[in-house]
Amino acid sequence: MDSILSLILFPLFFALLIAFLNKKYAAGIALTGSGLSLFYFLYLLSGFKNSLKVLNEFSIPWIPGIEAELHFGLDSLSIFMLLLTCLVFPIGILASMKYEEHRSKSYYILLLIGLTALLGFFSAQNDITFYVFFELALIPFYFIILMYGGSNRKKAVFKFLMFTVFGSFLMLAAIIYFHSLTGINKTSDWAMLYDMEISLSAQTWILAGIFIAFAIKSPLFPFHTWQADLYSEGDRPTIIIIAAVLSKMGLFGLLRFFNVVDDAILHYQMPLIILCLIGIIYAALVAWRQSSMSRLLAYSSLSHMGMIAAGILTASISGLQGSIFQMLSHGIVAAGLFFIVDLIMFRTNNSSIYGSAGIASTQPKLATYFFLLCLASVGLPLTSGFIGEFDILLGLANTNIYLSAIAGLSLIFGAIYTLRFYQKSMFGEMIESNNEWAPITLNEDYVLIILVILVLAFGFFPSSWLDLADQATASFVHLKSKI
Amino acid sequence: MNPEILIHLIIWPTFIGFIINGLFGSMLSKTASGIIACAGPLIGFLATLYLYLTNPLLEAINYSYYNWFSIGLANPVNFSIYIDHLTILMLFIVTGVGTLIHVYSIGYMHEDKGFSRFFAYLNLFLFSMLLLITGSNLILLFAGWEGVGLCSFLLIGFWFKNPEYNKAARKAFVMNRIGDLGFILGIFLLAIKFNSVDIVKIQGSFANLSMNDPSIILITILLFIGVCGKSAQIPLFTWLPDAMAGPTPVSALIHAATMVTAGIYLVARMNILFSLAPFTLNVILFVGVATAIIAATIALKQNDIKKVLAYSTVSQLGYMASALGVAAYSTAIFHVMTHAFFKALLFLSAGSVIHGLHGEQDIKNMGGLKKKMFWTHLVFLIGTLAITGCPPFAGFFSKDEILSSVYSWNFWAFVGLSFASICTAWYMFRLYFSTFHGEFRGDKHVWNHVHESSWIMLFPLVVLAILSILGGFAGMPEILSERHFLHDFLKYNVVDHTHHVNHFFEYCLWSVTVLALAIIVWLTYNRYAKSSKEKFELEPTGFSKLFANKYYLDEIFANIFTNPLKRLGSWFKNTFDSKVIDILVQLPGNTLDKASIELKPIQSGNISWYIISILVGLIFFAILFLVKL
Repeated sequence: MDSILSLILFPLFFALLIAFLNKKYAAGIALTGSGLSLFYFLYLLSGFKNSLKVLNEFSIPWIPGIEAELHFGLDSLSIFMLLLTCLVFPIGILASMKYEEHRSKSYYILLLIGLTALLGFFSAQNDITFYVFFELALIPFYFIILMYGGSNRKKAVFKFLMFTVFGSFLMLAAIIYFHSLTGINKTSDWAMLYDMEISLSAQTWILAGIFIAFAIKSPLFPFHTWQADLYSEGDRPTIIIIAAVLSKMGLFGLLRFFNVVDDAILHYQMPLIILCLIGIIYAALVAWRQSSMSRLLAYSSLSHMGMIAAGILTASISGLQGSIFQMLSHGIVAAGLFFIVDLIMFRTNNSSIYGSAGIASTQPKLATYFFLLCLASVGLPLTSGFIGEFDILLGLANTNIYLSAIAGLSLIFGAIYTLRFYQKSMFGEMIESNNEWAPITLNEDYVLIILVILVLAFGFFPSSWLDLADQATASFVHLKSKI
Repeated sequence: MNPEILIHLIIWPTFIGFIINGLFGSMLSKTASGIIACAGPLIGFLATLYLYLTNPLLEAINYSYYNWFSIGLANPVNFSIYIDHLTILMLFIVTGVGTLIHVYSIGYMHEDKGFSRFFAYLNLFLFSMLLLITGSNLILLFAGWEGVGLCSFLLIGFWFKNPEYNKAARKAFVMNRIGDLGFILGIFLLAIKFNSVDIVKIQGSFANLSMNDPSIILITILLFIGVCGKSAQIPLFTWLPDAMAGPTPVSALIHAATMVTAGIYLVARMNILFSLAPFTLNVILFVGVATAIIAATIALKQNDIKKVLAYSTVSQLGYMASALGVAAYSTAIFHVMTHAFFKALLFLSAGSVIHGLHGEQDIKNMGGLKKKMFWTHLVFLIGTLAITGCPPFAGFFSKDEILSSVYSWNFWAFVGLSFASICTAWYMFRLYFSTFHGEFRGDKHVWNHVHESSWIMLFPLVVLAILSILGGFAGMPEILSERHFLHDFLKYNVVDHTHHVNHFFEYCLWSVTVLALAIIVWLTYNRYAKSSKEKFELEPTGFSKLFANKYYLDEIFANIFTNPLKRLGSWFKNTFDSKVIDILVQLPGNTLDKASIELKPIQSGNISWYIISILVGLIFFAILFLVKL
């Protein structure tokens, strides 16, 4: 019962239920299913011992010809992303419920399949399983966006698909190359893969393959051009999930493969970090000039992803620890901000940041939640956003103080575009047509309260989670220094 | 009571006040919400007093709440409170002046719809400020540092319907963040070098460092960039005058008495570190003097009562920085204290004027207010005498100490500060005479409704006036008294490196001060007490124009930084992203696509074309085969 498999299959069971029951129950069942997944995960988490071992493992032989296994389990790295996944899905589904008449059963079935795929991806314990679920997760989201969203969604989602598939093939090639080098087919777990000795030149090729794949998926500059289109055209509740969880898949992959290609990462550290830094600043400048809420958040996300990637590439304890923590924090904050964008656009039907001006005077609660999430986004101390960014910048400073100074410019630009976004959309004189605003519903209130509490709780008491992140980095062998 | 309970009582009441007013403010009556808000700083003040009276503080108190996080350093970063003499003094200033301004605000904000929101922010500000001065490590100090910046943002933009105010709020936050980046980089370098972020532990490990060690210079310069942002030094001071968009009590509390002095406090806190870098001290001295002069000259030509006081604050902060620059740290803290008294007094009495004139801030529409606002006029005069350094008011002692310390270090810096002093006296008496003397220049209708403020606003003014008169006696120069109370108080925590100046110089300085003041009072009285409205509306020319337009610094910054970056961002957004990057990353795909279109005609279905192709191919390979043989 305590096997991770039950967590992964849990949403599928509810997807089946939806398939056989009346449409009017679909949303409720999806919400229950994802909510119960969250509770089930928390139950598994309560039994998790802070150790280097993989727990709640499950594995079965899969393809005998290449001795491939399907292998899942809980470890200190996967826990962060599993928590985020389980947390964000109910929020996305809650957000979608206000569009209930327009959503078919298949929408919720696809979402739950997506949940299963992501849970499988984050708990994958070898590269074949990792790859299969990496691909699998794409399919349900592709179909959802194809069916729901803005008028240009088809073009946007096709671009998304082509970019990602291109990256996936590079990753597949890299994985096959890796196995052909080591001469063994059997892939039981990550630890075994990490032990392989491969030459720097071979590592370089592998790094090139996976880095491009992950840079497209996150995305990182300059592979980001699919992102803003998708975020502004896609079905908004689904975008909450994509922005919060799917955007972490690439970075998570980089962490998973870190030990396979560590020599190459250290060798090409500087150019790669510089690429990330360019992305951080570039995205922040673009975000500053955006007037569409979704696009602004897309570029803000791009900037943050660059920061996290830079932290990973420092190959320092604080950089890695901070990146892992920041992935969780950014996921929570992004979910909250996209949730707010969705609820504003549901009411104003206007994607512009000016569309809801002045609303703070009639919706003080919303304005407060929004503000707190913005603070976490700009990394104010005692919110969750600070800890990760601080650690990452410290790791960068330890590599080279100038790198830290350049990445740190995002503290300034982040404040500029986030506060501009907040003030233009909440403050100022009220627009006439917004006098009739429906107050935020109880559901929306609960979601935002929970997110805000999490943001503050992780900001005030990050310690145990940082220890967990520390545990995750402890398995990374080639760390240069102790900071 | 043991110290732990007192620490709780100092830190948390303001936070609780923030929570109550923030969450349930709309359900509370104005009286209740005001009392709750005032209770926070008042309890803090009383607890500080009790702690001071019962605890000799021979050893600093260090109390840790919990482990905040660990960053791979030798010691984890704790949420812990550190109290020594320097902290106690700052606590007195912050909670004392804070209480008075809270009380005043009850009267000032009474008509405002956002009454409880205002007090929630104000309490949050005080909580952050308390964290800033009591944090035992640099990261907690930084948390308070950013927290006060946040509250400053919230309070400048308190009337959030006005886009101009929002812009001022954003400007303040962003310019502070520029400083904060320097600050945090300094923290990183300290953490890497000393493997700790604990203030006491870091300063204990300097013993084997040489003077002007390059790494120490870099660290101190980075920290000073943070100071420039928060304490409004050149070039990061332009946000402070704009910050006057906030309600006047905010200007008094945050933008004069407490928050802006946080940078001065930081340097005093890290004085051992800064003393190791004479190079940085010289930079600080230079920046401080330049700030004092530039801000004072701008203040000469401002017509908005709050703007004059704002530039005056910048100028006074320049004095404090100059004192830091000559390693006279406790002198700087002394001026922080006296300045808190008289500048809070000036701002609050200016607020009383604005309140009495129903929102009028332009001095060209004032004049003759002495007749209707006796008490406000009296305390404003006391504040003016204090800030201009008239003996024996509070400003005299601290300013005199700064001037003589600077004199013993660098003559030209002394000359610069003296010049700024003259400007200070000029713009303050100009302000005083044109506001309270002569005839009222504004609307008749307004004049009929001018009223003195209520006792709840006047009471804090009177207390601050008394402090502005007596506050200076805490630090009497050695020719008057053997005991310099403040230096003795701070000597365990702050090590000054000042030289003594001879007594003859002191006497000269005093006589010249008094003489110069007398002349300036006479000149400004003649010039401004009976000034007409037209005179205020004259277009300034020459230097006056430069001063009135703030040396065009806002325009210069906009043209050097903001506008180019904005244009770059727009170009990235509109052109580069879609026309360059998108095309480039899609190049492989598009090339294939194009190639397939180009090659498509080959598959024409024409049999004879296929046969010719096959033959050509065969012949080619046959030749290849033969050549190889």
